[in-house]
Amino acid sequence: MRILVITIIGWLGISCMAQQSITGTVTDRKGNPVLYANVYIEGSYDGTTTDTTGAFKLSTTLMGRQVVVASFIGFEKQMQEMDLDTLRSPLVIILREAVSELNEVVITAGIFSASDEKKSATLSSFDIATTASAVGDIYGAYATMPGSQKVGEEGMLFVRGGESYETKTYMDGMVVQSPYFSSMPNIPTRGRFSPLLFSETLFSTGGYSAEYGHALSSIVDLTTNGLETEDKASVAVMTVGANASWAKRWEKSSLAVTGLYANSALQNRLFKQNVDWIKDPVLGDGMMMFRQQIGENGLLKSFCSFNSMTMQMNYDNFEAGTMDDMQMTDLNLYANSSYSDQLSEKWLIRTGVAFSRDSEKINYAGIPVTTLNNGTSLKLTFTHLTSKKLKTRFGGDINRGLYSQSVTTDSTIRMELNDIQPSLFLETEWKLSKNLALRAGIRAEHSSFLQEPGFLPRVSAAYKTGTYSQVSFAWGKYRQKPENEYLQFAPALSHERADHYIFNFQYRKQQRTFRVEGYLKQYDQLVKYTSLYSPVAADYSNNGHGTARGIDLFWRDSESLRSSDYWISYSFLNTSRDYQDYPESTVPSFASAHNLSVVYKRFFERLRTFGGVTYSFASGRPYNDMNTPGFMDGRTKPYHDISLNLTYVTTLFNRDFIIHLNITNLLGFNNVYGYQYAAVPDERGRYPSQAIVPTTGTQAILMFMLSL
Amino acid sequence: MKTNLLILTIGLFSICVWGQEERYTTAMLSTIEKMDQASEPGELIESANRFERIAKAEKSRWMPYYYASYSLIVMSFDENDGGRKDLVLDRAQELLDQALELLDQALELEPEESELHVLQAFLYPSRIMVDPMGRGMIYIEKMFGSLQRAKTLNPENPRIYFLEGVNKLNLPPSMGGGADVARPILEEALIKFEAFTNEDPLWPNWGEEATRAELEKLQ
Repeated sequence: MRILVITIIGWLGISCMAQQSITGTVTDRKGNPVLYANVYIEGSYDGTTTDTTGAFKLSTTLMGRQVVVASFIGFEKQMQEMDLDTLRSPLVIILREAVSELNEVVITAGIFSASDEKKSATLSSFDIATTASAVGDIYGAYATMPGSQKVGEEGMLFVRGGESYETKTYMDGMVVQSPYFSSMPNIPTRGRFSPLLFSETLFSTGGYSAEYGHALSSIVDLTTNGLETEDKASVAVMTVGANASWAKRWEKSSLAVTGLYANSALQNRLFKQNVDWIKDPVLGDGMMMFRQQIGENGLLKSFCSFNSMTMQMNYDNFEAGTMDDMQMTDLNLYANSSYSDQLSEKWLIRTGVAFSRDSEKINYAGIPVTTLNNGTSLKLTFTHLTSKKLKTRFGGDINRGLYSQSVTTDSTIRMELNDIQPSLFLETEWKLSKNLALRAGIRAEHSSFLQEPGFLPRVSAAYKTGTYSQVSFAWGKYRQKPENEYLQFAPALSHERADHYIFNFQYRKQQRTFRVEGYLKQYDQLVKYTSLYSPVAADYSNNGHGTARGIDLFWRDSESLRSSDYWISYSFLNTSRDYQDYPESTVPSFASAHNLSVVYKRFFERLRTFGGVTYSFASGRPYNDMNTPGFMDGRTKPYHDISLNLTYVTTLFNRDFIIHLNITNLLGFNNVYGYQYAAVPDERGRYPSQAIVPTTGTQAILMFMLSL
Repeated sequence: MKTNLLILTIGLFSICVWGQEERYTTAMLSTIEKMDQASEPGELIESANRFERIAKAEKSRWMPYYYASYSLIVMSFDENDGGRKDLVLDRAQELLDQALELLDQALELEPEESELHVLQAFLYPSRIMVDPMGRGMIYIEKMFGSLQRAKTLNPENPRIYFLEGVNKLNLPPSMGGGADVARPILEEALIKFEAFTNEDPLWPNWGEEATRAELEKLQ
């Protein structure tokens, strides 16, 4: 009996306690030991941690076939089924380095992304909102990125020797017809949308994906914020107007509403104006944003904005030698709804509809010109996540544009354009290895008005040359419909075309980024005309062409200086084009060979103040000096600007209170953008000239904001 | 004798089966103890590894994930003031991602647990340390959001007030921070710590000592 008991105890004891040891080492693929790796038997507590030599000793009571797992942060988990009864120690387990956002190969040619979440981004939305020279304008902030040219009298983005119309803005996947406020000649405009609306923005200076069309040079892709994080409300008073905003968050939805009234009257009295204002610019703006989470991953976004702008001035028509009354009223409505969802583990869907209506009335010397731009967009895209390494996106959009312009002199002349542009795209991104990624896509486009189908292939690739560095390459064909102001007179024009070639090197370690990018852009079929606004179709042709080549440099460092962040952008541009009424191929008036921006930001903790300074430089721009025989052989003096912003954060009535000061052109540089010439020479045979200058010199805007 | 044998057999058998609940508690308790006594980053990873193994074996329990994540967050604090800044920051970033992934898994299992939102708020300051300029604004807001969420789930959780107090202390007075604002919150935390009980011996109990230390500094 006793023997039996002992036997039973012994037997039970063995099955309960019988231990064996598995020994071994964990190394990476180069044979270096992996310290502190977790080595264990799946589904059990049995396991151990490797020591400082990568060695381990795993004790277990388990037997038979088991899965042995080795894992460590930064490495892919290694699993292997083994028979513990016949296992022969020591084991050598090799771990592969995991592909994470930090070390992943990412195609960066031509792309500057701003994101609050993605670590591969170059900027955050906060960076955009706090760039001093931008005064809260998205396009102003991107003007400090390499590849863009300073064209102060326009205020729009000019990218790599391209005209402003060659850059298109997308919001939540759909093209925005009128992203800038309407303006008058030589009065710089700005973007309609506040940078604070977007959690992610992408600025591509070329070589962009097949998903984007209708743009010859560049795109700005804006992704609106998701659900509001909390309830909030604030009011602000500025030297240029007042602003109120309110947001409410529910469990699965949120609503945000903003109202803005801006009036430049005070500003225009405080700072000497180079413009003879009759009515100071007044802007009324309302915005509504609704978000609804649907199911686990679905998100419905609805955005709607309405704004109205008026201004009136005595326009100095130097060419004719007259001062003419000019007034403008612009009404703009933009609505955009999109829905994104994960349909299954492999399928993602994104769809949306956008509607815009812009009505601009300009009354110039008693002649009213009314321009209407209505647009409707529909878009649907699918993404198939075939594997970790292979991803395919495809979809299509339809853009309908209705443009009309009427001019009333003795009688009313009205011109109308109606165009439906359907397009399809397909794009595959393939990570061939940890170090090499390829992306190939094709876009098929059609225009019902131009009756000209087009197939636009685009290819890009990236190769990691080291832990922190990589090279990227992009090539693609792009086309864009000529501007409506030409098409209305010459409906037989064809698309303008461009080919992009981009080579990029990027080094990025922690909070330091260095980029250098070389590019070549070849333009073809640019619109030429014999005289501007000629109503004769035969005066227009697609015989224009051009090239732009250059080098862009970018350096950003957010970690070397205490509480500071700065970036430096430099662009060298060599471009010439024969377009519009140019008699020959030459450097266009908007292009400067050298552009430099230095942006510095710092948080002064003790002073509770956030400060930012930007310095911008652009070398002289060409202008056509009427008193010399050559064409476009004049050069303006270089452009300089130093801008400053200070944000002081405090509390008032127990609430957050912010005082914000923004000063542009702090040192009062007398910048010149170009020259206008009189149409007739004076008695000595010389054409009198007048400089095109900024609307004002040094200017300051002060804002007080109280959160409620 | 037969009865004795039966009892013995059952007894031995139950030692084997005793496994599930008791084994879990014992393993957790010993690992928590090890974690609390850890004096160098390696020991914290070792604890995190053990918690992760338990988490994987148990599957449906959030606490091992919670502790694995907690160990890594505490470790990332140490890593930050290390000498080899570059290497350390690389690692801190990776560790945080791992911690967040673990926390996300835990949240999926038990999204309504106040402690998990507290841990979320505990993680954000490390995120800020990686890039104070770029992330400060966003993550401070997120952190107080998590604390708010934790408070609605269980207003008696003392760790909420501890984190709130410490973070207010580090915030400039202009942004609603400073010693005067922090002191009453930390005092409230201490009262809540003294009142806080949970039957589960594994329940998180960190923060009390640190609250006392912060309050002492403020005296």
